Amino acid sequence: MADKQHRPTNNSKHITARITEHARHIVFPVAAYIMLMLNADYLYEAQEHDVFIGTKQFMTDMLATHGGLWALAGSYLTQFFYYPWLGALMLVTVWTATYTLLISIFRLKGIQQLFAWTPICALLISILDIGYWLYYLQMPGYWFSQSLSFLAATLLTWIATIIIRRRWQHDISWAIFIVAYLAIGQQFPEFVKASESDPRLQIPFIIAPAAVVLLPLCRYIHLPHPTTIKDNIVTVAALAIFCGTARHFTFNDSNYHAELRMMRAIDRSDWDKVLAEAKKATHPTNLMVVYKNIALLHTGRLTDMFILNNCGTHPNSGDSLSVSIAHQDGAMVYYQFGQLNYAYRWAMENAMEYGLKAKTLKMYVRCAIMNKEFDLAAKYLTLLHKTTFHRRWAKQHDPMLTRADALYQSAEYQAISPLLNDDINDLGMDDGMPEKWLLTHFSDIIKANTPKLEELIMCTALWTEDEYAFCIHFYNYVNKHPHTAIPPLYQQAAMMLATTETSPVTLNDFPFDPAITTRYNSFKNIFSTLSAQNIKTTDIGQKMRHEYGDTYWWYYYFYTDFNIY
Amino acid sequence: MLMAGCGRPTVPQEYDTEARPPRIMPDYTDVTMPPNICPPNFTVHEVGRQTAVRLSAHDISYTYGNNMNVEIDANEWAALTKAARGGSIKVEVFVEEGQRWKSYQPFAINIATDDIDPYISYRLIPPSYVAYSHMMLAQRNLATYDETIFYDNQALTTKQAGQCVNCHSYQNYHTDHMLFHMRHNHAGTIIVDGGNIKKINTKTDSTISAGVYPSWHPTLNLVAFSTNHTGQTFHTKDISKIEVQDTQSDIIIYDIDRNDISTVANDSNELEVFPAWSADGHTLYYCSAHFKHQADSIVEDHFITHYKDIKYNIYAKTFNPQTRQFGPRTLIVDAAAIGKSATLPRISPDGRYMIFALGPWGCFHVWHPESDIYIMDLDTHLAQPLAEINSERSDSYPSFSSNGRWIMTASRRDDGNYTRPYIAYFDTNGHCHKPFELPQRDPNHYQYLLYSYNRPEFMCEPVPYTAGQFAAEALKPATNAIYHGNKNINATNKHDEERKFKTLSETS
Repeated sequence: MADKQHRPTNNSKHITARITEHARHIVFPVAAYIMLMLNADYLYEAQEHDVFIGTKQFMTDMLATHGGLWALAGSYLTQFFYYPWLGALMLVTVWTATYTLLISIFRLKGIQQLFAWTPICALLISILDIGYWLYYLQMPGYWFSQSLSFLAATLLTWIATIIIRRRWQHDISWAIFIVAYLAIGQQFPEFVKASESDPRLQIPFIIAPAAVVLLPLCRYIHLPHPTTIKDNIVTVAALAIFCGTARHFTFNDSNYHAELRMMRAIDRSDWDKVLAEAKKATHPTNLMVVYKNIALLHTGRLTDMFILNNCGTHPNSGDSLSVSIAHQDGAMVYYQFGQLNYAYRWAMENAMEYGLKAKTLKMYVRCAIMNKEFDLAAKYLTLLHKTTFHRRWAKQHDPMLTRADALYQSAEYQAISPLLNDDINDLGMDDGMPEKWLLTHFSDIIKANTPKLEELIMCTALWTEDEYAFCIHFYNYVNKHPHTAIPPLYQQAAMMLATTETSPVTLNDFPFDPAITTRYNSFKNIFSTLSAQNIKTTDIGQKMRHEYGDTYWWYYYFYTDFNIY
Repeated sequence: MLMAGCGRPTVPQEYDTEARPPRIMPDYTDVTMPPNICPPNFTVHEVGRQTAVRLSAHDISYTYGNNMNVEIDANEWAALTKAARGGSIKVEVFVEEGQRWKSYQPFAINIATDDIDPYISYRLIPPSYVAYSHMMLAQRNLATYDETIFYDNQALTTKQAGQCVNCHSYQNYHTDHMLFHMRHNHAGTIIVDGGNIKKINTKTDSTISAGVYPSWHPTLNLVAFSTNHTGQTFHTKDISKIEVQDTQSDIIIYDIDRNDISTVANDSNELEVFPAWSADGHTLYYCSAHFKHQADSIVEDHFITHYKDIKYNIYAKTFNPQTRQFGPRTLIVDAAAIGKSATLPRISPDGRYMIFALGPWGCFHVWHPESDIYIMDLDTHLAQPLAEINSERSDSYPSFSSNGRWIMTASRRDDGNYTRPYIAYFDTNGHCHKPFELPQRDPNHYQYLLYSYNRPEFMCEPVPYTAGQFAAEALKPATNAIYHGNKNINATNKHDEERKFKTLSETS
């Protein structure tokens, strides 16, 4: 009877123990997968910042470099981040295989196996911690190459242990691993850009092999009086440490992720998505402001630019890395403003410094098509046809080379072509600052030949607070459109600048909307009242932001931190 | 039926006829090739599933086709060129589209009687702007497809310090006396002097820069260089995208044996560049643009606002190999008089002709789509465009083969952006034939390649050193060259005004 009562209890304990053991193998990959997918926007951009071209030439060139095999394999797999869920699944599979081999090599049992997740945690961090280095990496296939070479070293060690089959093999497995890891020909990652570097990002690549070296010691770790509950508690604690550590080192800056999402939306001309991201941002970066204004420009609402936050900030790169819009997405920014030569140039410059990318090839194609350099576009499209996921994009653009209607009816041509001011060819330099160059260039244009360009030159004059240029543009605008209602933004600016010394023309006599006049008077009164109370200007700005933050007046008086980078 | 990919295709018996030659890439229709060059593989750019191409000369005939690619067997090509030497190979192209075959108008590949030099060399470099990355000096065996890299800048490039490598140059087409420059990281000029490799710093306190564009004296151990202060500015709209301009430049001469440098031309109101020796070594040709020197502080702006006004002429100075003195300059090509700019002169080995690049302005015609190759008969001083060799896009950097029968140019005709070596037969009557693009094993090579072929130069022999040997030398500190003085005789030849640029027709 006692036996009968005991058996189910033992069975149930056994089943529980098995479940615990399986759970230990499963929860960590699931956790890693979730953490990757929480950064899906970044993973998508990772594959945009890499490329795998299925030509012999591409492969030969890649293999000729140090660590080329791993870079090639890494680039091949990185392209699967085109669907972040798929790329993440493959990466987690690589890590799970590594873990499985490690526990086999070192014969880890029970909770000892938890330590085998340490190198995996380091590899996960190495993916999630790079932040703005995404734009400055000089390692093709980075997102997979390190994990692949680590797996390869582990596999070689496992094979060696199978071949040796000696009692002492487990004591030297760590040494075999190190030899394999060093011999495998992988390049140790360097996060270096001109005079800047970040050795902190190299730490995971030291911890991962170091953890393997220490794994044999784990065989001596045992729980006193082990029970399934204790096992579970330890597993949960280890999982918490795994997730907490990875989360701690993940680059979580909200603007960084918003930029990535906006980048993708701009690439697809998804202006609503861009504006939705812009609305969410409380302290957007300059790049986000530029993106937002691009979306407004192409939806005919650029005069709403101050309704959505136009006060850009410097990106928080999390370390000493200096970030530049030119390197982040300078080519796309120039392209969206119709500056095709500068767009092509920055795509090329960045490809030279930081390697060829899928987005580079696409930008080459875009510029070549808009410039009607169809032979050149065909060359780049040929290469995109040799990629796994960008060939569809290439196919969509193929007809533009041979059929004028396909080009002229394309959304991008219709968006960009009104900005191609054919009258002017300037020769100069942008000093690596696209935003500054664009604002100066457009606000200086005297004669706009399309309504869209006209709107752009007026709005850039306000954006850059070039009162002189705006007054001239405003005067011309009103005289050119005597029967058109003046957009509220222009009225706001004109009535404010009407009395300034910098205005070259008198703007008092224009028929301003009384409601705007009243609001402006109210703005001036409150500003004067608060100033009289000796309140600091920045505090006045904060107090008035709720009511006047959507006006040009607020931008003009209180946005004093316009640092172009 | 074809057995594409696993055998030789069969030419169809029934087909429709197209009354035009096929579109093929590279375009080898009716070109003239040397008998000692490798097979000109190509792809047929017509709509279709597969192609069958028959090459025949006299009683020899072979058929090729692998999908739309045509890859010719080297031995069979050798047999064809042997049979066709001085004549032509007939090429018939058939394409299967749907269930029907189509035949295109046959074309010829003419085979000259004159051989070409066995090697060429070039710099492989992406057509980049300010930033640069990977670049290589490579040599190519023209009889095969073998390409070897004899210097790779990655050897001495770090992530923080890049290295630019450029201006490979040879004495009289031979590689026992050659040079190339390295800039930035481990900077210096690598000079092969007989059996020695030296690394020299040719920048002195008395010169603008280290030596830049070189030209070896054909017999003496002397190299003429330009020294340049070069900048780049960018067009917002112009299709040429960029202007590369010198704001200062002079001509110097470097004596390798004495390790000293002398000035040859350094007029402060002139921009002297691109030296080129005559085949006998008694004349040094070079280009020079006149501009009124202003205060240094406004020079850069002046060049930006007046870039279209910078027009280079070609001049010559006599040279006495015994005294090593130069005579006064003589105007050879007055390109400015017709609103053009002449650059990159090269003299034929027989001394009869000079070829050069002519563009709208400036000195960097590789970025000027209007740039064409011109030839001047130095006996008559009659210049004309080499219409057969020119294209709608930039054609520049011309050079003669060692026997004078082949002219190679760096052309951007393929796509406007990537420079490719094109080679044309230049017959004994001074007539140029349709050029061909350097053949490659992979017919799609140029479509896939993201590098330009920069400074293509003929060579009679391969470079005898490996990239590793050069890199080892490059690591060493450079020996400083010593400034010796001025060999410049600034007086202008009184016949300058008589030597006008004569051209048959600017646009012909």
